Amino acid sequence: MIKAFHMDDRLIHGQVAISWTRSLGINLILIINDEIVNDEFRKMSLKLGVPDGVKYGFRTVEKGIEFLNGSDGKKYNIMALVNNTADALRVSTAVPEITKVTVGGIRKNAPQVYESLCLDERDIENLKEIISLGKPVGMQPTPGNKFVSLDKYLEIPNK
Amino acid sequence: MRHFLIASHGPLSQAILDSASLVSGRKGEFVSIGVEMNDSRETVRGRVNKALSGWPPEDEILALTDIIGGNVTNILTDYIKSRNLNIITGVNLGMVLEALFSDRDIPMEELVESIVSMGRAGIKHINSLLIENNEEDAV
Repeated sequence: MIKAFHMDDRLIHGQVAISWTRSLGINLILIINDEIVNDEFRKMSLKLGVPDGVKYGFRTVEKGIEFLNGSDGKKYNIMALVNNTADALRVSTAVPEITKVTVGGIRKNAPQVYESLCLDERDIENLKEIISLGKPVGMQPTPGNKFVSLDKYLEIPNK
Repeated sequence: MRHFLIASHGPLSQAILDSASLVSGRKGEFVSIGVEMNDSRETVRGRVNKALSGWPPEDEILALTDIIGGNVTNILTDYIKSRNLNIITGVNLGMVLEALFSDRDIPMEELVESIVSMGRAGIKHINSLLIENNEEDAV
């Protein structure tokens, strides 16, 4: 089952590898991204962060959706990771079992709407669309942090 | 009850708790003791006494210290006679996180074992791992 669907530009990092997996009993970290699937070095370095006893998988967005909706998706306690809002929208739209999106952060050259979260206008539209599906989107870098809904932060930021 | 103490030379003990808090989102569960260059043995003992005196004498205490043979490790070692105290040296961030996420009900011997093995397992030569490129956990 899908225990967490998380968006963070770092994908696997300390908070995911240790805190999320330990707190939720995750036994599969699924990285969903169209570019990384073909980047052998990036895959090697990301999997070094996977803790002992936890499996990992790399999938394109299309294959990731298939995996999560298929019988494989039932076999594991899955944490699915994306690193951008467009992928978050595609996956959460296509996977009914996803009920909310937690956000660790996106650091990039765009207006900052919340600590560790920079979004351009396109990102904001993507996240609003996820929320309109009835799936809340909120900041939650670790399970020890409270889920802070992004609703009120998603107005177009001042330029 | 079980209590955790991180002890080091200088700012490491508090800093490693701050780092653990950043990764885990949890804070305020462990106590830290830092020893400065000019602190006398008595000053350090005073600081240790102050930390330990808040806890009932029968309570379990696990101390993670920076280095074997170091001043604060040596001073804490004296307390093994009088308190229900276990000490593990060579603290690293993985060990603090292992302690933080540990089930408070598991026996102390098991906890010590898991923290020691976590500490050892966290020391890796990344370049060698990249060459190995082990894929047995891939799905």
